[in-house]
Amino acid sequence: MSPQQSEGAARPVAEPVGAVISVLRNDAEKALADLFANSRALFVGSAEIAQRREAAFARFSRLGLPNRRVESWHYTDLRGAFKSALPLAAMPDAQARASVRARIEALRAADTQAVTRLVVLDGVFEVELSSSHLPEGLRVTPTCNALIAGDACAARAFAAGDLGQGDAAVALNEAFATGGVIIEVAAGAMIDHPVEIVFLSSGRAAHAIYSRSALLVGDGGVVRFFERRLTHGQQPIQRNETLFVDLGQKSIVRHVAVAEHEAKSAVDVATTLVCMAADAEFTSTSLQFGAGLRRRQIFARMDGPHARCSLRGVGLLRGDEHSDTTIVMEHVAPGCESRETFNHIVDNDATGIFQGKVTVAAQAQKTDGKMKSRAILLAEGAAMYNKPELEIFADDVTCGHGATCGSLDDNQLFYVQSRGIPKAEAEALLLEGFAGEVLDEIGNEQTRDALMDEVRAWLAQRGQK
Amino acid sequence: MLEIIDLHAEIDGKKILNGFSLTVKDGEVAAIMGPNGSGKSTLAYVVAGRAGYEVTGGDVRLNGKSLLDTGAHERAAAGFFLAFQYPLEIPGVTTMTFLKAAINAQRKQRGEAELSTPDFMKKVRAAAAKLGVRDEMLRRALNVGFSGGEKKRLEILQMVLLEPSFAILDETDSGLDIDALRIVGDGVNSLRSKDRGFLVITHYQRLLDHIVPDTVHVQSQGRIVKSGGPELAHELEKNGYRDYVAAAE
Ligand SMILES: Nc1ncnc2c1ncn2[C@@H]1O[C@H](COP(=O)(O)OP(=O)(O)O)[C@@H](O)[C@H]1O
Ligand SMILES: [Mg+2]
Repeated sequence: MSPQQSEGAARPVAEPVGAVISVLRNDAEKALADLFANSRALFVGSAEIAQRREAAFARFSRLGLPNRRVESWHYTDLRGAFKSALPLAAMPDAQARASVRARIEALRAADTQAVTRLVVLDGVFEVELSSSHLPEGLRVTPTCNALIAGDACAARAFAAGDLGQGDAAVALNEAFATGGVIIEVAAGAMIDHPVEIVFLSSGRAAHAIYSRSALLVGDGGVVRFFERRLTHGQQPIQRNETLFVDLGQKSIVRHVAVAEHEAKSAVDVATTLVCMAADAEFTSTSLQFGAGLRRRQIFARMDGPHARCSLRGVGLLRGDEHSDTTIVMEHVAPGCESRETFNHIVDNDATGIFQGKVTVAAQAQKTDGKMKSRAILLAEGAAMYNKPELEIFADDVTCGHGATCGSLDDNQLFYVQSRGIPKAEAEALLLEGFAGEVLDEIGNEQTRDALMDEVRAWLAQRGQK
Repeated sequence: MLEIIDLHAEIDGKKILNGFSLTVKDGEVAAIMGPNGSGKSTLAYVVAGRAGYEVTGGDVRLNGKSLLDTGAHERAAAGFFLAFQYPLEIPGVTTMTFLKAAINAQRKQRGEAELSTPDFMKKVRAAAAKLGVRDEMLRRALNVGFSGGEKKRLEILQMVLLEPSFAILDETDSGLDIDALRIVGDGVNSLRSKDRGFLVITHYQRLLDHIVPDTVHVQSQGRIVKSGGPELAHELEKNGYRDYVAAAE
C-alpha cells in the first residue's frame, strides 16, 4: 500500500518537534527561493504535483535550511554548510556521460553476478548507461517521463514525501526533484538478479542535484536491491536525493546500500522513505564512507501488521568527514518487528552521528523494536554522537536500545597480539570484525565479501599513513 | 626452557610479583598452585608481554633469550603461548580466520612461507576433531557465545596449532566438566615432548591427574614459597595453602 492510499497519509504533515522558524534568511535560503521561482518552467508534472511542489517549498520557506536549533538536525548543520545555493545541474550531455562511462564499466567488471543496473547521473536517469535488458516482472520508468505522462507511479513517488514528517530537506527535494527512476516489481514476481540504482554525480561543475526515485514492490514480490552513491569529479556539489521503497503485502526487499567517499566540498543528503504493508520484510544493510557533510535519513513506517524491518549499517570515517545517520521507525500496526544495528569506526577528526527514533502508536501492540549503535573511536579528535529515542504509546511492547562508544578494547588487542599478530594487524583484525559483524547479516556471501573488501581497503589505507 | 629470575612487577603502583624465580626445563611440566590473588595470572601476563605492568627487576628468558624488551606478538613467534584464564571474545572474526591469521603472522615473523589454505584446513580439522571442537564453532566468531568449557577447548586448539616451545596454561581446568577435562588433558599430553615445556596454573589436583606434573610449586604473594614433586599437589589438596601462606607473611 502506498502512503497515498493509506490512512496515515491523510493526517496533516507535522512540523518537526522543536523546529524554529527562521525569520532571517541567509544567502543560500534567499537564493533557493529565487531558484524555485525561476525554475518553475522545468517542474514537470500534473497539477497535483505542481501543488505539492508549491506546498513543499512553502513549508521549506517556513522552516529554512535545517540547522542545529532543529532537534532532528542538531548535530548536522546543513544551513552552515550551504554557503550558497548552487545552480541546478544541467541535463547530462554526451561529454558528461563519457566522463563517467569508465566508472560504470568498473562497476560492471566487479560484478560477481548479473546485475540490472540503472544509472541516475546528476539526478537524471540515463538510459544509455543503464542495463538494456530488464528481467520479467520489472518495469522501469524515468521519473521525468512518469511525471510528464501523469503516470500513477510518479504520484506515488511524490506522495511518499508525507512519510518524511515535514523534514525540510525532504520538502526541498519535493520542490525541486524532476529526475530519478521508478522501479516497479510486479505482484508475485521473484526477481532473480539484483537491481541496482547508481546515484552518480559527474562532478563536472558546481551544482545541485535533486532526484526522486522509487522502488514499488507489489504484493508478494521479492527483489534484491542495491544502491550505490558515488561522485566522479571534484567540483562542489549539493545533493539531495530521495528514494521511496514501498513494500506490498508479504513482499521481501533485501537492500544493500554503499555510499562511497565524497570530497570535502560535497554536501550529500540521501533520504529513504519506507512504507511496509502487512507481513512485508525489509532488510537494509549499508556501508557508508564519509563526505564533507553527509546525512542519510530513513523514515520507515510499518503500516501493516507483522511486518519486519531490519536496518543495519557500517560507517567508516576519517579526516574531517562528517556523516549522520538518522532513522525514524514508526510502528503504527500491531505485531511488527524492527531492528537497527549500526557500527561506526571514526578516525582522525571525523564526526559520526547516529540518531534512531522508534515510535510505537497506541494500537501497535506486540511491537518488538531493538536499536543498537556502537562506535570505535581511533583518535583523540574523533567524535561520535548517539541519540536513541523511544516514544511508546502502546502498553504491550518489547523495545530497547543500547549505545556504546569507546576506543579499541585493550584486552582484546592483547589477546590477538599474544597469538603472534603485530599490533597494527591486530587492530585491523578487530576493526574488520567490528564491521563484519554487521555486514555478516547480508545473506548473499558474494555481496558480503565485496563489501568486506571495501572495508579492508579502507583499513589498509589507515595502516599506510 | 623458561627461566624466570627474581622477577618484580607492579601495576598502577601496586607490587604484585615480589622476586618470583622459577626455571622450567625442556620436557618438564611444572604446576603452580596458590590462593586467589597470589599473582598467578599476573605472572602469566607479564611473561606473555601484556602492556600496563611495570617490571621493576629480574628477567624472563625463553630458550636463553630475554623476552622483556619484546612485544607480545614477538614472544608468540619466538615460541611462547599463553592459554588464558578468561579467553576474550572476538566479534566478527571467525575462529577459522583468526587461527589462520595467527599461524601465518608467526610464520611470517620467523621467515617461513604462509601455510596454504588446504594445508591449513587439514591441520585445523584434524586438531579440532581430536579436541571435540565442532566444525560449526570454527565458522562462528571466536569465543562469541561459546560456553566456558568451549572457550578453554579453543585455547588448547590454538596451542596445538601454534606448536609453541613453551606454554603457560592459566586455570585451563576451570569451567570444564569431567569429559572436557580429559579431552583437554589428552590435548596437552599429545604435545608433551622432550623439547617443550609447560607451566600449568591450577587450583585443583584433578587437572594434574590428567597432566601429571614433574614439579609442583606453591605461589603466595607474588613468589614461589615451596617446591616439590607431584606429591605436593596431593598434600595441598588435603591441607590447603594455609601453612605456606602463613609462612610467606
Ligand atoms: N589491573 C590491576 N590493577 C590493580 N591490581 C590488580 C590488577 N590486576 C590484578 N590486580 C591485583 O593483583 C593481585 C594478583 O592478581 P592475579 O594475578 O589475578 O591473581 P591470581 O591469578 O593468583 O588469582 C590481586 O590482588 C589483584 O587484585
Ligand atoms: Mg588468575
